[in-house]
Amino acid sequence: MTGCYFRILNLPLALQSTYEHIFLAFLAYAKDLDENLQHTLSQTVIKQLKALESKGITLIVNGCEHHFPVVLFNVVADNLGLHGIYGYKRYFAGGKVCRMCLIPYDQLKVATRVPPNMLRNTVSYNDIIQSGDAERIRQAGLREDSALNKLIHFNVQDNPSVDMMHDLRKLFYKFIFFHYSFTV
Amino acid sequence: MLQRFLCPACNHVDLTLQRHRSHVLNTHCDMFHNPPNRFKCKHCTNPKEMVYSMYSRHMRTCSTRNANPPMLQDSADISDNDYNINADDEPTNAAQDMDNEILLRDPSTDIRQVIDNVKELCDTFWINMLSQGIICKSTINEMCNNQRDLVLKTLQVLTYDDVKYQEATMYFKSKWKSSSTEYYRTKTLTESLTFVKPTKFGLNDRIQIEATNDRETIRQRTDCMAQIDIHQTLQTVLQNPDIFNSLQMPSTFYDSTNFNHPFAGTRGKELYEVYTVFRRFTRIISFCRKSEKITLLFNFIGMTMVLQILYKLQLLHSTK
Repeated sequence: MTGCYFRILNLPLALQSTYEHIFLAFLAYAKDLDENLQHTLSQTVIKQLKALESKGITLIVNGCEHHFPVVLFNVVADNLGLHGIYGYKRYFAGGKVCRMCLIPYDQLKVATRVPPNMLRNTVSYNDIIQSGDAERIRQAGLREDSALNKLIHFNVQDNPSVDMMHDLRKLFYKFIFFHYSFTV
Repeated sequence: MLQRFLCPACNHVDLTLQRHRSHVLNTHCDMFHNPPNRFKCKHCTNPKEMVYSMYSRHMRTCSTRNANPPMLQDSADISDNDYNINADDEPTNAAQDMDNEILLRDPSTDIRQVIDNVKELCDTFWINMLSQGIICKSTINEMCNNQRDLVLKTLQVLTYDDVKYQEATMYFKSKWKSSSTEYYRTKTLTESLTFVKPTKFGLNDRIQIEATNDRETIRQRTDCMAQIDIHQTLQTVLQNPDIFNSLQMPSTFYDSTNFNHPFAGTRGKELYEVYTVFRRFTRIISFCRKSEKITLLFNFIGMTMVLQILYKLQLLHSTK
């Protein structure tokens, strides 16, 4: 199953962490959604978010009318989910697999620092996507333009997100723990 | 016999420890400004934050509505510890003989509260059964009817006093009137103000062959996804005055040294700057065009709703 949930960052932190305040946006079978993911997103969630960005939301509380614009802050998911929704390729065993840099897979495990020219940025991302060259898009580790880029205040390359479980807990923290425990 | 938990502050009776804790947090604690495992009295100016046991003792002396409240009933089961309350914090002086007194003290209020709690439990049970999707509606209806009969039968413990019994029965009937059948239960749910109805969105069309002993039929099926309107959800949640008054705005974190919130990061500050500049510009334009827009636009300052999408993937083990 694929589920899309959202939470309101304006709520106090004590409320944000409870399940009652994480809201469902849609629910579908993953195999049904994967066939045309970006189109489906643009017709459902993105359409609603665009309306919220431009028109905002009007609340009537205690007889007073309040109006707020609503903006997407970030997207959180596992690596496969993020690559799917951001329009990157969904294959992690070769090529350019990182969402933040252009270092190839075989050099990622030995590289200790990222040269500035190897970092991805919005200009190069847009340039590659708008060229329409399928081979160039594939070489850059991309697959298609993300529907999220249709939003006014959100671009997938400007708002990278990490997979808390795979990137940090199972990889980075483990590396830090073993590295420093053996060094000490 | 059912366990009951009595609030030391207001004599509110709950049937489960979880509901009792929810009642304490929602009614007597300043939840929006305190971590959930600490309690702060809402009825006095004492700023001290307390653990549950201290809070319970404090309420006996603080609350003027309950001069000599009975002790709470002990519960060994702390598996539903939603608020990080340790077993050591639980009240240990159980008073089993208070069970009857709770029911007998003030029938007009206590019995109604018990019936309200039972009704809430029954409604939660019904929604849980419906959401599983593996039990047919007629079976769920039978189970709900059975629950209703059991509650009605339980009320017969009050037959020693006809007046109380009649009053409790009448209240029971009024509560169950709107949920006597599956149709009424669904209607009550959909008409409630907090309900946001999911809608279908067609994804793919596919051809499915259905074979019987006599013939094969080709049918066109549409795979759908369920979506819930984000705008409607936001309106439903945020129009609650308590939640609305507790909202935190990006302007609070713009020059703050408090870094434990996403608004304190670069993205939060950028969004705040974009909207502040945009709003100032819009206000000037609006002032030139139509003066009455000023009041409404003035309310925008420093207030931006921000959403964070959680996109989760997981495998479904199909039962087919």
